[in-house]
Amino acid sequence: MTRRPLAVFAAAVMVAAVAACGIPDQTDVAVDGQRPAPGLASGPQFGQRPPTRMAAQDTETFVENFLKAAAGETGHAAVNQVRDFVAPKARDRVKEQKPEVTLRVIRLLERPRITGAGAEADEVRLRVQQLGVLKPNGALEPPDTRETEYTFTVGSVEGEAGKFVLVPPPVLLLSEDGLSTLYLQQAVYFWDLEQRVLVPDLRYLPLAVPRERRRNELLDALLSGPSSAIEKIVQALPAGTKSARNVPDTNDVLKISLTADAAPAGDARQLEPLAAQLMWSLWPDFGKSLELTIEGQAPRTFRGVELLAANPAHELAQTPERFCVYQGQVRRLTSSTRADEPVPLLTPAVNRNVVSAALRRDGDVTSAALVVRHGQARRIVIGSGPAQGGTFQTLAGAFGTVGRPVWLKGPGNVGLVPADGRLLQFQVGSPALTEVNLPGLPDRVTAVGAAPDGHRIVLVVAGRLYVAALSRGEAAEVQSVRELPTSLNRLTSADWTTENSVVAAGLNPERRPVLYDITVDGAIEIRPTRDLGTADVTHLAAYPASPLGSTGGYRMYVANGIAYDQLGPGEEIRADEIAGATTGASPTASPRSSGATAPFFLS
Amino acid sequence: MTRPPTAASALAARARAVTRARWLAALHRSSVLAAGLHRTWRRSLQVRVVTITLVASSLLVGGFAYLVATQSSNILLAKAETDARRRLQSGRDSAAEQMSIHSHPRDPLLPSTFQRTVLNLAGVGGDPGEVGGTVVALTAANFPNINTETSPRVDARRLIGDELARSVAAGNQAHQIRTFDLGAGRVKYLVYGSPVPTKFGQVELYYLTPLTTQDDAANQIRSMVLVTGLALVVLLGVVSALVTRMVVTPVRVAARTAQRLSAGLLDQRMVVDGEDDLALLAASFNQMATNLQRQIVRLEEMSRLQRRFTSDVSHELRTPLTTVRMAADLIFSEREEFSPAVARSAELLQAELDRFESLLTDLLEISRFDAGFAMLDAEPTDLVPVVRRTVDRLDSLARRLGVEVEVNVPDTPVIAEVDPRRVERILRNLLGNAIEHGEHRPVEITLGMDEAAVAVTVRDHGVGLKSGEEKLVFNRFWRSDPSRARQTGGTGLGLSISVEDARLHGGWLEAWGAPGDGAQFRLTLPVRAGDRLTSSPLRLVPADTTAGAPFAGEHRPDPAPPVAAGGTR
Repeated sequence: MTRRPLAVFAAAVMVAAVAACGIPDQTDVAVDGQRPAPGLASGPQFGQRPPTRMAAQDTETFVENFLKAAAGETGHAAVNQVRDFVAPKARDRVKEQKPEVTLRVIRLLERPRITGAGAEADEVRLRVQQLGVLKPNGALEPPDTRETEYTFTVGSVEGEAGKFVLVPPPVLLLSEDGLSTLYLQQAVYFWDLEQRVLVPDLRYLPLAVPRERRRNELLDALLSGPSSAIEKIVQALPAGTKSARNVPDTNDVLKISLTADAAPAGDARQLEPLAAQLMWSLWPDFGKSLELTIEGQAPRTFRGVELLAANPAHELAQTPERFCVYQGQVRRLTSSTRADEPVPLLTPAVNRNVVSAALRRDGDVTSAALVVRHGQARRIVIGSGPAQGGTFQTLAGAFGTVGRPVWLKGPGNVGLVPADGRLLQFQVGSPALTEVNLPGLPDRVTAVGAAPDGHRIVLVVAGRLYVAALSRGEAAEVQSVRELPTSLNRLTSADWTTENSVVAAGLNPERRPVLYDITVDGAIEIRPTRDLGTADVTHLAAYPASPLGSTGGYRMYVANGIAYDQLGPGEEIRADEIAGATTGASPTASPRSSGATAPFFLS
Repeated sequence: MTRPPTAASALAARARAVTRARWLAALHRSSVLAAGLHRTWRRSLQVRVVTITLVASSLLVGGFAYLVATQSSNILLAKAETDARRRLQSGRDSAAEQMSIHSHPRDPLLPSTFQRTVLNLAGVGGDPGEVGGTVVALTAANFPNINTETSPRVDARRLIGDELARSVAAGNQAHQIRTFDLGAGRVKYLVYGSPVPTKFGQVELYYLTPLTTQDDAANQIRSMVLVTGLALVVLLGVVSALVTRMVVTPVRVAARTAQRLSAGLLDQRMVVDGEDDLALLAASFNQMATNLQRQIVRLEEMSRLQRRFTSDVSHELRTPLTTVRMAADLIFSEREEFSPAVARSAELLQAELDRFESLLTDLLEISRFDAGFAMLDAEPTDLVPVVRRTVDRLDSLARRLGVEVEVNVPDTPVIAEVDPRRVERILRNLLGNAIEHGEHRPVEITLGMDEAAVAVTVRDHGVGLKSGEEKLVFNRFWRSDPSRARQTGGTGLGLSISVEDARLHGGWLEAWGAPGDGAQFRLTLPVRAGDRLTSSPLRLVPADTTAGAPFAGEHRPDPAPPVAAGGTR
């Protein structure tokens, strides 16, 4: 009998247990395992910062540092850094501009003039050349003011150590020195209007941004749109495109995530140009790949090698072919590659009375433009065909002075040549030369150089330096022109040494002839100390460096009748470097000259 | 409080008393119920089987249901955990990538990265304001300057809990189930947390997945299982009841038939239905009943024949005896005319014929008892004069033997429903035996009564009875000492006939004796004819005995002997 109540009890317990089981309301914490330890930042965490106020002891260094103070992360950080230099009472004079903080980049034309007695307060006068306005997206826009002088006071404040700027200038200033040392020059790319090639756009990235964040900043810079220099000839990204996520610091794959506006149709073929643009702008390591994710779609991977072709600059050779004109003939230089081959395309019948020439190879087709002497005048002969020989055509018109012709990369076999102060355009298959309209510039074009993308040219007009953006439709048309604020004057010629910099020949402020490397916006000049003597540079040709390569651009020039190859074996082009030259000296040449004139590169 | 305290305490006391009374009543009812249940349990096989089936099946089904319910909820939970873990891992990798561009915790872009990451992880296509979906949270436990970000916006601190946060901040991937209310009711959340490696340390990523679907599914399964289990148990009970009934009913029928058979209905048979064990039982039972019936009928027939024979013989013997008697009477009346030897023979003849006649009468009487023809003529009789009459009748014998007969009767009449002829015969027999075997010592005859019975005891102080003879003394033709001559010419059947007479009344006739202390015989009769005797107003063992041997030699017949069952005693 006692078994029965026990069994009933057990049954009741069972029912209760069934009623109670299920998913519990709360459990204990269950550990699954340890996770990998976090990594460490590589390199300095904070990037390179401009010098602080206390770094300088004397006023001049203090002023130099003050002019670099605004370098760094834009916006609030820049303003605060400048405010640190300013005396506490005057800090609110340094205002944070709306809607964005911009810096005035200036070049000091002379050392700061510091006047004032004692250590109490010094008055500082700066004579400056305006280089431009540095926007938060890294683009240097043309200067918006013509001020040539800034004045401020430097002194000490009671109770504080070090010097202070007592009366700050009304704008945030950045010296050229600061721009070149505290910023990284990077190019972002935009497609031209025909979506044929990528056109580079130079941006300045503050070194204060840590290395891990650089790509993120570049992406933001790219997404902000093209700068005014090229905006008329390129297409911006679709409106509303934003970065959906950070660009992570990875070593093997570039991962970019964009909002859905970037590719509304979601077509894979539309994404490839975008991928090429992103790969070239952010990480030109084409051995790796890019993973592009548009919000709402699956990520797509593009291999780097597939995206190379978007930028024609990748085809720039490490060692270009060199030519010169010797005794009226175009000859190869032995120091160049393929020196033992005959001159392409030019038959002996054509290769005479040449003053200067330009050669271009595009696949199997070689094109040549020759400036030939026709009595006292100059005429232009163009031709193209396979390397063995082709058809030539003398174009209409005879001119007094003709500069160096250049071919424009791109469709239609088009080239430019400055003739009699005007810029003329020629095209294979067309017998006439058409004038290229240069809005706002006088008819005193002396030199022209073509950028590797085929959309930009550098011009020397009336001794000043300009960069123009071209649209390439039926004919090349100049859409916008920008003057480069260089410290040179009386420039004679210029050509491109990289995608974003040119080499220009002119007189420096000490009136000595120099060759300066200048960025495409004219802000930063590299001033080699080489002495070129006293004669002007009469001819300059350069071969731009590939953005993928490590070598600088090549340049050859003629000064005082002597041809120089700046990176050649002996700098001077000697007679034995000319292929097929006789050892006799030419009667018109000076004793030192080898007789080579108008050296140029095969573009 | 305006009531006087005494009234309140009185009320309280009354309330307590009422409660106690109710409790006691409830206890009493439940104990009654328990007793009733116990009885039912012992009586009914069906109840026992059904109860055992119910209990056993509910145990089994309960165990199985528990297993199913827990396993199903475990499976649901495991699936949810796997999904959450996978999501957490991919989310962690994605978050680590996003955080890889920040090299120090004070990076000004870090908060916006936090925000963007949780929004991205919370779901492409998910509504950040939706409550009830998965919540994603990024915290930086080791960097107080970095705010926690969640999508949708909730209080992460409260949701994640300190213990889990500590474990994850220490570098473990851990999980927990928590329940809280985000505004749409209490919801169970599966909280998974993992550290996310960054260049400046670690931050923590949490996924809080609601378990509503799994919970609902588990609940549904559980209630389904419970309902099914209960229904199953009930069904099993019903089925077992039905099955038991199939077995119990024939058994009951068999029991009833056997009862009727033993009650005397010898032609009761069971229905043989089919060929199974129950049918086998019924067939065997029927065969047994048939055999019994045949045997009983045969024995009855034999007994009847025997009795008939005895009765016939006795009757047949009577006729010649009467004739011989008449002749002997004649000879006896003329005995003076014969020679002394012939006269002596005539006296002997007369005496022996007397004895022969009384023996025959007794035999006839016994045979009537045997045949069951004995009829009781019961009428309310005063037993006092019956006793006196008996004493007077035997007065001459007593004087001859010098035995003094003491009579103890009450003063009031002793009325009982008896057959006076038979009672007188019994008393005459008893008194005669006592006088004869009394060794010339006094004999006492006592009459007593109570409300249910009357009793007469006859005490003598003669030789007495040896141990074991108290029962034998009522046997037919038994003599204690075969060498003793019978003075009164007893037949040896007197006590047997007295016993049958007593039994006919439904009374008792018992003997007690001790060697050397004499014997006592007690006749007990019910006051109302047909009543069942339970006790006697007089003692069987006399008070003046020297030896103690209670309950010696009772002859207590079975109560209400069945009419048809004859038997030899």
